[in-house]
Amino acid sequence: MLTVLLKKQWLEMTASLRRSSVTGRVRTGWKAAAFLVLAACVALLVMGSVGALAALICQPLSDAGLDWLYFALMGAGALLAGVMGGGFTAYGILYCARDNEQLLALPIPPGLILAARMASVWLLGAGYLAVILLPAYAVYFALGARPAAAALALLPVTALLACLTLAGSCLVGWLAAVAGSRITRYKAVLSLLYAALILVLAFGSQFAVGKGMLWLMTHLDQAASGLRADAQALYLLGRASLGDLPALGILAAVSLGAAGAAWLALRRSYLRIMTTRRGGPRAVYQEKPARAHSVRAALLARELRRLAGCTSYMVNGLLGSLLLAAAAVAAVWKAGLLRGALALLPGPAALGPALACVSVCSLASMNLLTPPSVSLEGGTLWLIRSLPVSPWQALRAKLDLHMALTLPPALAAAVCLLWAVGSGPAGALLALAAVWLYTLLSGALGLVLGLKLPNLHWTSETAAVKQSAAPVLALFANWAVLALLAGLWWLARAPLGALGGLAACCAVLAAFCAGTLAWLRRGGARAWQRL
Amino acid sequence: MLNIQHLTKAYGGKKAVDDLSLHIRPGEIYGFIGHNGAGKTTTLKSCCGILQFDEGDILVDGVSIRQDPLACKRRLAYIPDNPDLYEYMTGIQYLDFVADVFGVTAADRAGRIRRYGDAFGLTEDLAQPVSAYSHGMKQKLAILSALVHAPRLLLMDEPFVGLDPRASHQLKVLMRQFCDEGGAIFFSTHVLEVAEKLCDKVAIIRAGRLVRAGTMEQVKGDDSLEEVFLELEGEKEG
Repeated sequence: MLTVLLKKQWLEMTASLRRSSVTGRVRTGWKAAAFLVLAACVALLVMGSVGALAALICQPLSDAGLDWLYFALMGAGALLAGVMGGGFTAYGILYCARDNEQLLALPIPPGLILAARMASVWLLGAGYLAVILLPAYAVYFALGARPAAAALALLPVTALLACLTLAGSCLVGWLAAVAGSRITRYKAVLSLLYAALILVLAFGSQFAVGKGMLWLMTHLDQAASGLRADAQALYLLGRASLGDLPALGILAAVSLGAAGAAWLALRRSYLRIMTTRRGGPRAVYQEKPARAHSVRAALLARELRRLAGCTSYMVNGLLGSLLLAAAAVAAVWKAGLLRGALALLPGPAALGPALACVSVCSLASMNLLTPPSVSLEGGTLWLIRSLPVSPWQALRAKLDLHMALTLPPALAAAVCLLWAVGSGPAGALLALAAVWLYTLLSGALGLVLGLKLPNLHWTSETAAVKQSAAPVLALFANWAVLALLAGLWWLARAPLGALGGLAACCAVLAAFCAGTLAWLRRGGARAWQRL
Repeated sequence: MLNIQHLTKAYGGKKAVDDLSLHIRPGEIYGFIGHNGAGKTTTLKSCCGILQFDEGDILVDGVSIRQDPLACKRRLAYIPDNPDLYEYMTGIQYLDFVADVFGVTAADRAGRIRRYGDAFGLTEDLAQPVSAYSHGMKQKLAILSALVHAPRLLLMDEPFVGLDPRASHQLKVLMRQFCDEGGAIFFSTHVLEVAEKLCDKVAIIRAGRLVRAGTMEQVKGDDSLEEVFLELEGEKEG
């Protein structure tokens, strides 16, 4: 029975490889190959950036004979990323799959359904870990010592750490499910608060890890001996990663035990959570004076309600807005520190607007509202297409949502940063124009990718939001545009001056925006009709 | 009202609808009958502009759906067989959304929501999220949203599936009333008794091709519609 369920999970996870997510029909061989190449390119891009970070710490640690510490740090980082990344995914996969009722109606023990779903979470966690551990090992073999045992340890360590990730993710997913089954009102607000809490935890941990690493690198001997004595778990992880058999054995016992315990714990409540519908107090409709709205306002309201109704969409889509709001507060709070840091750079007055602009744009680039918005139409796509709404009106509403939720915090953060760095009016105006144009471009690019790589046949909304190619590629596209603009500003500032360089960036951004919006109106509209 | 001219639609190499022509006039309830996979849903989806077709044309009130899809959509409403509605909205939010898109005035929409909501016994549940609705309630909401903007043409795919007997009766009454007021209805159904009692005209489709069409008398003669249908399908015993 478990084999049958695992096969179903496998078919579900690899569905986008075998069938078109637009038509639902079987993909041709070359299309499947192109999809694989695209996925490999994205994975290589992420692994490349992880490898660059790993290279910074590998050599000094290896030279100091602290290879175990290198692997302990990389493994702990991977574990953290896996649990954080897998938490929301686990909730979607375990509790929100569309075929839950279908499976529960069959004579299958609920524990087996749970086990099969957990296998998906495990595989996903292994994927998250591999993206960090593969480049970590590659860097180690390029720069550090090359013990053969370490090479053999890559696969078992990834598999075992994925079991730990599984246990952590399932716990986060279970907490979300229990809360979801009990909360009947203000779900959207509470989801946003929950998302903010997870983000604070994620970034707080990342900040702490970064700070810890910096301290480690400057106090290597002292830190290593301290860690070895006080954090036996990290030492064990490091030794296991180097292929030390006793350490691997202990890691295996702990990881498999944690995964087994998670299955046992979740199995107890699985059927109850899946089959309990508490429902809130029944709201009886009271007729109120109706108000008519324009088509544009009605479509925007639809997009807003869609966002408020999907936790993973809110978390993924509004990450940038939350960070921008935090950046605005931090800029005012630490204005003195910022001015002091800027004063150390050459030509601080001219650099200020450009630096403020890059900082704000890099945060705004993380708002991924438009890329999954097409996929999220899913089975309801017929509805908007049967209404007298042009494709451009439907697409513009998605862009409106992006602008409504990204532009205000982006401009607020920009104004605060510009004030903090003491920018002049001309520089401030150019920087604000660049932020506005970049926000528009990032939303439009996301929409283009959403139209080009839609996934309309999902079993869980999480698949559309987190496991589709469009959001990942949109993030990279946003960063590529930012890198291009930074390069342009750098080249143009010599002949045109810093402000002239910023003006050139604005001109290029305006041209990109015009081109992308023109495509959306025509090509995008055609793509929408073909969905 | 609805003029389907030589409609052809193929999926891959297989023709789902092959050279289909039909004319539905104002005041007519036109039934569309065929076995599963005969091409009924493909035809209905093509008529409301959510499926591109390969050949032929479809005119709504004389306007081509290919040339001016928006003008056609303003005149019609489509109700699918399995209404996937926006589960993140409440019933009333959904109706307001559709009314806003069609530019229905506040007074008109309030009156229609009250009238049809009461007729289908859904008014009290309009404040509930659509995700809490049963299949039948979603079907009723889809019907309400179709009627809230007073279309001239109704396209319905299996509209009676999931409805309780009272709602089913109400729908039949409303369908007759709608056509008596000058509207036209083109709907698919497997319930041949309903088609026989309700429809002015009927078309039978088999493997994408129209095999018989006309008034109920022309199509069935002295037999029952079920007998004619089974005979055309080659499944009648004896």
